[in-house]
Amino acid sequence: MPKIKIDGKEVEVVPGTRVIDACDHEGLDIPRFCYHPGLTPAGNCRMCLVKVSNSRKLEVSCVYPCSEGLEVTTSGPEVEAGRKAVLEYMLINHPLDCPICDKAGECQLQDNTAEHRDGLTRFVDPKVVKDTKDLGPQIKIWGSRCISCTRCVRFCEEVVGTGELAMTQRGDHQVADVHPEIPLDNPMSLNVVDICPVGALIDKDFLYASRVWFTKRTDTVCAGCSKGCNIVATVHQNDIKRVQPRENHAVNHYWMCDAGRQGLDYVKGPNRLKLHRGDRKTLAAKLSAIAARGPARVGILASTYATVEEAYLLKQVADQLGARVGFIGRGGDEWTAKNGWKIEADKTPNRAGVAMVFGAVEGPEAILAGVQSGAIQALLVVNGMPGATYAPELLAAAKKLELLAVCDIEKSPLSEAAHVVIASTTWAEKDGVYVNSTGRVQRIQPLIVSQGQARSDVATLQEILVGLGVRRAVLSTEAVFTEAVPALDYAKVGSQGVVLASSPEATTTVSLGAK
Amino acid sequence: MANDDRVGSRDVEPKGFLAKTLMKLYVPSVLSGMKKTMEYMIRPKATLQYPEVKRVTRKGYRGEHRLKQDEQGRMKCVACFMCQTACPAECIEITAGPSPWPDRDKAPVQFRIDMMKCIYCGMCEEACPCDAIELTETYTQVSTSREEKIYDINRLLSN
Repeated sequence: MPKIKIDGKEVEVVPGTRVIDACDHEGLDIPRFCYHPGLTPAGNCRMCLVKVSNSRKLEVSCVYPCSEGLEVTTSGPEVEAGRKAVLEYMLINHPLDCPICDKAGECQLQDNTAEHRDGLTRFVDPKVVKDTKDLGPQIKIWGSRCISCTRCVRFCEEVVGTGELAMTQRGDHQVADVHPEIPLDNPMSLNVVDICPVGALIDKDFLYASRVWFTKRTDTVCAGCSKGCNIVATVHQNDIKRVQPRENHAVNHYWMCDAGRQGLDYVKGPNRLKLHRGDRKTLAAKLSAIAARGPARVGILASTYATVEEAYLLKQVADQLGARVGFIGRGGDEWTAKNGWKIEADKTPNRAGVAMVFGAVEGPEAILAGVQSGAIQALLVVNGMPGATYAPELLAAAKKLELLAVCDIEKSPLSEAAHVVIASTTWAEKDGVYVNSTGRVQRIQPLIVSQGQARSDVATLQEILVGLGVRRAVLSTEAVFTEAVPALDYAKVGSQGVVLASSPEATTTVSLGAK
Repeated sequence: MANDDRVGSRDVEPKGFLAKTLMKLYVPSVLSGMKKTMEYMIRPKATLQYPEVKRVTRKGYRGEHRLKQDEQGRMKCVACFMCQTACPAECIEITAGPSPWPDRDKAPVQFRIDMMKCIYCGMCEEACPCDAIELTETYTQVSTSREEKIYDINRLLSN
């Protein structure tokens, strides 16, 4: 293990470590543009200059390997002068249109300029102006703002493997661009917007949506598939403006897919169920009266969008009423990027968590058959899945039901036909825990205030259980979680999640609470 | 009565019968009061017959806002949100969108100022990099509802 000295402090590093990584590990702030820990270092922006004992000139720390006895100086007049000169070159042709640039406030060029330059310019010649154009259906490029760091080019080549982007032109006119007939539309394309250190690449959905300093950022977990990417949502005025990936090397590294960023419109969509209907206070009494007539008179239809807490309470309800629980899910295409980054085929976030509570996840077929044959006289639907479609046979057979209670997030023919409708909260409005396909227990958090009367299914189900005499009071979601999984609480789950066991099958053996 | 702080009390007691009597009859006080009254009668009056007569504001008076336009009649604002960021009363609300003109990227789709929240500090004018917003010398703001006090982009452009 080579030992190096950073600013006089001795540090032992793994062989092959680059100086910038060693400095990052020591908590030193090395300015950079082209270096990204998820990509191969390119060393082309020259911003991360440091003084090393092996060389008379300043070296680029993102490509300089640590060797035994190396002495690194990360500050001082020489290093500062070097960085200042690099920035001056970068700003020659940069339009400095920060007031109308969407990146302003989270722009590395803006931050570094504020830190390392005096706000003065020596250039009087006209700037080179480059095109502003669409690179793909979702991404627009402001060529003039590009500083040719090639992060986006390297991302498309190394991570996705599609290589749509390339640096075109030379010298002052160099800019990232696509082939005229090949748009930038791979399933992970929007990551280039996040890694762009300046405002050159912009997501059209977020364009002009909000200034970043007005927004609130909340850590949560994507519900788009069972991978459970760690994300951070940018919220302004109770509106989710965008979601971005959050670093978690056990799940998604630095990336997320485009599908996870889009399609969040349902939260405030026109189809959203916002009002309760029918008498929900007598629901528990009616359910238990029907359940008392014989075995399996009550059916429960849920989805694998349910959180661990909801699944746990559903199991309590099912056990009390002797009901069968069927889960609807959603499948899709699996996709793997060049570097092995995978989008899961199961498009619901918590199949593993439901399996953990129920042992096995049953499909909705038995419930449908029961309703059709008339064996099931009362059906309780608890669905948190957006865009769920119910089988037409179920809708036809539902007319025979004596009691149909629907807790749903969106209006559907089933909610129209229901006797009792309870508007529930979506993924973006509730607390809870999801277990991803690798068995990692991760926490979601409310991003916005719930729409209309929408209330959490955890509260609704606890209310039913109080009515059935199983529970004594309606507790918080965290209390229900700790009851369901006594080994954990929200603090232990933390922002990066925890693994209960190595595989989703093994997690079913985790001891569950008393009930 | 040891209440010497009272207005009209004298440290020096008047001497002589006449002086004492006049003092007791409040004659000096009444005379000084009359003097003040006469003074105000001949002074120029501060009151204006508003609204027939309106006060001329001094230069730099901070009244209602105006969104400025350039020579071609296009609004100067580029929706950079600097005024909204600088505003201490949080009364400005901008909605940005793509600009209809080729020489700029961004323009406001809506620009609202809540005149009831505004404290007329002029920070928006200071913050504006495009010289697009200014405080006019208009101080007459009459409206009959709260909604009217929220000025939209058209009202601000025509101010």
